[in-house]
Amino acid sequence: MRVDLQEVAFAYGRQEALAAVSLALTDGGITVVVGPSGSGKSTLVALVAGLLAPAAGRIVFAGRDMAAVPPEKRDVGVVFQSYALFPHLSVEDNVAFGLTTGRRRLPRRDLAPRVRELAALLGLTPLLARRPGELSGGERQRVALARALAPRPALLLLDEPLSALDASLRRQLRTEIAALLRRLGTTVLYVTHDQEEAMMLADHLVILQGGRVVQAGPPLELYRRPANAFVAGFLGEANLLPLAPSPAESGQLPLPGPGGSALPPADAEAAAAAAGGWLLIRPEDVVADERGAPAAVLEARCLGAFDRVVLRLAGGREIHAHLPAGTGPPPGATLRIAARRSHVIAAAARPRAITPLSDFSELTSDA
Amino acid sequence: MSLPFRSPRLARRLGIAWTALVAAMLAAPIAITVAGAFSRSEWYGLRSEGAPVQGTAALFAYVLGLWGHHLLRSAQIVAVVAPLALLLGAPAAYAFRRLPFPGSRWLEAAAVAPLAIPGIVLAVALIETAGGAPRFALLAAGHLVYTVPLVVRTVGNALESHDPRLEDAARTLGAGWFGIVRRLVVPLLAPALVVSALLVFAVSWGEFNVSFLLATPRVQTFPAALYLTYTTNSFPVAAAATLVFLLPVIPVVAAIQALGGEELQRGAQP
Repeated sequence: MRVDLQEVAFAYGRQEALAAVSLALTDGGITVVVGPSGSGKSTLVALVAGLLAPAAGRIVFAGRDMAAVPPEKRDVGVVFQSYALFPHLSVEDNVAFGLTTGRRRLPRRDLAPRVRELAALLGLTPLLARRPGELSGGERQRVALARALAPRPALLLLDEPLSALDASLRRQLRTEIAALLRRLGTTVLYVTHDQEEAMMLADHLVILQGGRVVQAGPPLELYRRPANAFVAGFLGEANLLPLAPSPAESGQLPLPGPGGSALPPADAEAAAAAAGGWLLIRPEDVVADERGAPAAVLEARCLGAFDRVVLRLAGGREIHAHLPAGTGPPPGATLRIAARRSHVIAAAARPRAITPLSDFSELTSDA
Repeated sequence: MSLPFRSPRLARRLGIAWTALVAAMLAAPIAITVAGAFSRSEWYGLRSEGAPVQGTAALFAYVLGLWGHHLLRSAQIVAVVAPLALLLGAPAAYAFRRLPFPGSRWLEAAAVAPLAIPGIVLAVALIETAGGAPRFALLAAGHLVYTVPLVVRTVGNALESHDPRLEDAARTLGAGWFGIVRRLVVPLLAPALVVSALLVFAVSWGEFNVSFLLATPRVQTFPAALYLTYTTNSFPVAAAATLVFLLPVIPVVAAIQALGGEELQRGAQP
């Protein structure tokens, strides 16, 4: 089911939560909305589910305005952050709940097979008789997903479904959920603050910041060509090198391209136009190159998959590089480096309340 | 957690001794009353002829004959007050906790405040405002003022322990207003509702202050009637009457303890 949000706004009292958010969920696609806490993600889910009413704007399901349609008639399934499992009901009755009430009620003889089918799909068969209180976090998460999917909703909403789990379980479930959602082909709106989760699941990625859509598009596009420094820093580790404020100087990029070549001309041109903006170079795009710019190695750590190297360019700017494992030179050495790929972010693209550059190292270092 | 006693064994013995002493102090009057009711000594009733009556059975028969209709009156009051208190208090508690509005916190505090109002004040206020109302209704109203706050508190605290998103989840699963109340809210609150009902019973059954002031010779609850005749009866009669009065409370208190001692403690705090 295609879902359109048109200029949707919402405020809690005087506290603005969402401002003129427009986005389209493609039929059968997985749209992931990612943003830091307080960016309005959960509000967005509640609005689409009908649990909150927008202050302005329209929410349209398959061409039909949902303004007057209450949640119980919207044909959505919701996985809540807290799971919100019914504590007085068994897993079986939790999963069956949506099939025993309202428009999606099933005849009694079809009920048990459908519940068994979902239990098998999510590995809940041995747990059907238990109460939610007797389940682990991961099991509860699966029950919540099974319960939401049971009535075959046209739209599945997931509000930070993995945030309550520990890191290893989160990684495991992330993979399982990604596979399951792709197989089911349901239209999905998935909300998270975890950029890795977002990149992994999304067909279409939406970055939300301070109640506004900062950028939307395919994940790789957003990763490589972020609209502003916030998106660049939010989606993975980013070297953001400030460009000179005057157009003439800003054309002189801090790093050459591979083999001593200039960076793509488009970038140089864009850089000139973007005087005072940023040059984004992802750490994995920094490569050792004999004809590159000399840089002093400050720190080198092997993380197994790659070497994480901190370098200082002649101008004094620090740059992070991910070099092939075992190739990072020792601290104190000099390495010539080039940028395999870069992207220019115009100064005008700075959002109103941007995180200062100095904070990005913290933001990205644990990514 | 435990205080750092040098000898844990001695500490435990001291603890047992102390609690036994406290329990004994609390239970002694009741024990003496019970013993009094079954004492075989000769006693005299109110009868003008002053003829002695002998035997426990005769004693209880006499007590029931004298106060039976007041006992029935108390039961009638409880039968009216308990369901009404739940019907008034539980939805109010739900509204206060789940559908807060500006000022709802103050309103909730106001709803619980009557617990702290002396019964005599309340009784006078009720007579002032609705003195012409049937006395039974006035009595029930007086009991409601003291019991509704208990329901509001107990049910409100129970609500606090449940995720407010449960109702949202039920809605997105297709349940309407009635379905959510029937399949979610009532089952989740069932323990709190039962504890509330038992609390209401215990309070209404034993309520004296308001009942005494509102009592008329024809409409009297048992505690008021008991008081009015206490002074003119012999000890065994008073003891037997007290025992008859106490009997229904014992299973209720036991049930409250078994079902929700904690809920009771939190709920009973005004």
